[in-house]
Amino acid sequence: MSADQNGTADRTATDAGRLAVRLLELVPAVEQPAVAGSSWTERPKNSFDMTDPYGDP
Amino acid sequence: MKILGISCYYHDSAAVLVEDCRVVAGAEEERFSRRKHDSSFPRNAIRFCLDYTGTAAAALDLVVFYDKPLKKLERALVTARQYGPRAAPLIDWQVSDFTHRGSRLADDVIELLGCTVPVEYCEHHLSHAASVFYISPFEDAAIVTVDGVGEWATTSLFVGTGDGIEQIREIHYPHSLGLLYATMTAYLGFEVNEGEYKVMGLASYGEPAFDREVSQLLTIFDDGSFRNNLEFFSYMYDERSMFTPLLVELLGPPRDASEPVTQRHMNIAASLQGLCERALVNLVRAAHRETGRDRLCLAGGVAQNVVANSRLLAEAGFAEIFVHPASGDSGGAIGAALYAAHRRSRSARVAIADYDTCIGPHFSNAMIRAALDEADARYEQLEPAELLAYTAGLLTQNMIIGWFQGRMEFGPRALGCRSIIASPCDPQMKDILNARVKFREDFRPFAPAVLEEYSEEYFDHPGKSPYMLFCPKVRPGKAGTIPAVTHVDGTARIQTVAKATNPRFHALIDEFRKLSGVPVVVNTSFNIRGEPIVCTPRDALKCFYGTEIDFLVIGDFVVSKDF
Repeated sequence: MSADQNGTADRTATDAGRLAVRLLELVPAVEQPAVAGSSWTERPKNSFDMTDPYGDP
Repeated sequence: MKILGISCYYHDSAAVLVEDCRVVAGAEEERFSRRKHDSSFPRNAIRFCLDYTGTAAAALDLVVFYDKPLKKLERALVTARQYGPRAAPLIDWQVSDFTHRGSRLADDVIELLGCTVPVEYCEHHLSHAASVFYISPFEDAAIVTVDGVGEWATTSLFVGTGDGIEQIREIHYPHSLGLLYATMTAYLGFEVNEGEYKVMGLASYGEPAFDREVSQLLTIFDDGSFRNNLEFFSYMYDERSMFTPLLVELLGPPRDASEPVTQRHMNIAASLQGLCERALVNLVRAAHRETGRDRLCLAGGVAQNVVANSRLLAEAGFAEIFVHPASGDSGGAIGAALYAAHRRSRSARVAIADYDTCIGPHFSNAMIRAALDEADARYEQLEPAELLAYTAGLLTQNMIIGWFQGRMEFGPRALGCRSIIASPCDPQMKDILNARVKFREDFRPFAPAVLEEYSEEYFDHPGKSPYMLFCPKVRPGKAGTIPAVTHVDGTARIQTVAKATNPRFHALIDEFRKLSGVPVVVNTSFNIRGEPIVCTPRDALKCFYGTEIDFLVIGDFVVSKDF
């Protein structure tokens, strides 16, 4: 079991599975370019938006 | 301003109430529901926070959640896209989790409170960072947070100054020290998010004979970052196993939970612990170089690795390190609320000299007596001084005591309010506690609570350790005096007890010192294997009668099975 699967979530996922397939079509492929010798990702300063559950700066 | 912080839906749900930038009440949901690591919406913990402080729901200014559910969903979807159809079961569960729980937070809040309160969302690692910086004694510090994963970040570097926290950079999923440790916890046959500290304890019995193999799991870079070698891991797409057949090829067959622990398992654990310590030292040294600060705040689940914490203190270059006493996800509720509070505060932050983790329920002597009568318990009420002397005397007779006093601690450690205590002087005490009370693996050590003023005489640790978050060596010549709390490698996970912050527990240990000459007691959490720490007198009585604890000292009462 992975850490993400250790919760006690409701697993009645039939609708969720269909939604996942639909959402996958909408999500762009995000691939982090591998930087030689580092795995840090820079973070814009003061980028915390607390009002948004998505919260992308 | 009254702000409610909430963490839930993953593991270790909790709620805290912050008033004017001070944490005034808080508890993990598991203490009320009696389900260990309860992840459900923390209704009981919220009710406690409001009831204890006499706060009407309508008087709340804000509710703050400890992460951003939509951003977590984004991570799941992007990961699923990268790994294709084999990730389908995992994404199915994650989307279901979001639609049934993560997206329902605001509705759950309204339903429970019966009124509408604004809800905000604080990023997961920012919650960890705020949780530790704002309760630390530092005005200015580097902040490092390390866990399995939040939204995208698994490791983050911040700087805290005065009221503000500024993030510098982060390492993203799937590269994660927490998930590396969790994967190996699963490989070694223990439960993820529960058995990591068992692996840490097991490591002390092993030699790093698998160092060369285990080192292949992680690449450590000079700039402090690291990268998991993903060909060994499957947690990104597999809901049943966190590791691939390649890991089995590398290390041999995984241990089944029912198998006995062998020297091979201990050696793998030792090799893993060594790798994680090297990665953490490298990370924290980089944080020191980059921020130029002399003080470090540390939080996130990986900060519960007390062995690594001691190595960081010795080797990473910081003069002082403050680790959050509830550095896992429950502490995120504290951080989320404190971050929101400090953003709105008009007065300057005052650094906290001695943060008190005892923010949970309290029971008066009258309430305790009622519970004892209801249980038909046999008890005596003693004057406080008499109670301490009597209890200390019992400890010298090698009695095991359930010690229930004051407000319950927040976090995974019992620190003298919901504790089981015993004499550290008997070499058999560890085995007695394991067999008669705790019913747990015999390789797991017990921790000492030591009077702060005697700490350095017994342990090689500079200054305080009030939350059991460091694991120094026992001084030469002292291990024989306190064998029940000295681990096989000569270390001990110490709690220093100060008169100012925990006067009754301090006075008890001092009474024991007067009788035995030893300013130390065994302190383990008041629970049995698989159950949360006790919360109420009724919980304490159930544990007392269900085990071979000899006496229960609860408030001013001594409960015995022999009266």
